[in-house]
Amino acid sequence: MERDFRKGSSKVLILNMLAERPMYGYQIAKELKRRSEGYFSFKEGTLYPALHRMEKDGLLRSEWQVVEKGPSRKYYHITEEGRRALAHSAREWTTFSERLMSILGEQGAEPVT
Amino acid sequence: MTNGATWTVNEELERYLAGVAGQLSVDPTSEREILGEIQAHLQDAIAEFREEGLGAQESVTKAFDNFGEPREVGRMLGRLHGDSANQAVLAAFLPVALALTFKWMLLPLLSTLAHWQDSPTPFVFACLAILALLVPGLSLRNWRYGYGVWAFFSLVTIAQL
Repeated sequence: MERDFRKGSSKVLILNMLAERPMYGYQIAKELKRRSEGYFSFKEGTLYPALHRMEKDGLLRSEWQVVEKGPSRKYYHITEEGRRALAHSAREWTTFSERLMSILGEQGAEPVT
Repeated sequence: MTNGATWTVNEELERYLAGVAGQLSVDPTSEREILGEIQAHLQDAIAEFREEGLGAQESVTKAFDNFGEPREVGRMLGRLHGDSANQAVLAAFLPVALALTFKWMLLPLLSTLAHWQDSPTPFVFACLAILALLVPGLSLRNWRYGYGVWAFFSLVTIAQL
């Protein structure tokens, strides 16, 4: 269940970070882990199918940047469509979270047995 | 890092990337790009673990472990970029379709219009058709789904020559 939530939220989290600035894959994985204090840590290899999917869907675009020292890096940029998708997903998550909390709040956050 | 350690790291990286590549059925350009991106990620991770004081082997192992099993990563990316396989089938079919169209439609039409008595260029046509058949094989690698279709249409075309 918890894993499903995390998996389902990966898109909005990635879009949210890329809305701030373009990043490359390793940076995204590190930043996600740091900001969530390890909660959103996952097998880093799963990040790339997600990024490529979003790029295919037009939410991201990418460009290679040659680095003087070290490997070239593929930077991902959010597109206008990506920003719209982020706004939409953020609203959905906020509504979901508020509704859930209102129910849990009524129950005193104790599981019903 | 010693030269020996660098060599080992590179060798292990190549082995890992080969594991990913084995599951991809994409054109060479896409494959280079996908593997280049993964390689950069792993190199960054290894360098960071080295900076934290881990040994070369330990850094590599940890970076690979964090990234995931190479075949699984390759499978996920292969599924996503699977359209390439369909494109390969199309690429395999198109030259043959064009060759057959050329033989059965254009040549007879030209023969009629120009009052040619015989098919003027069977040898040239055969060479062109065979060259056309080689195009997808030379330009696309790992298009395993295309092989069957390519072989079938190759036989059909050659049989029609």
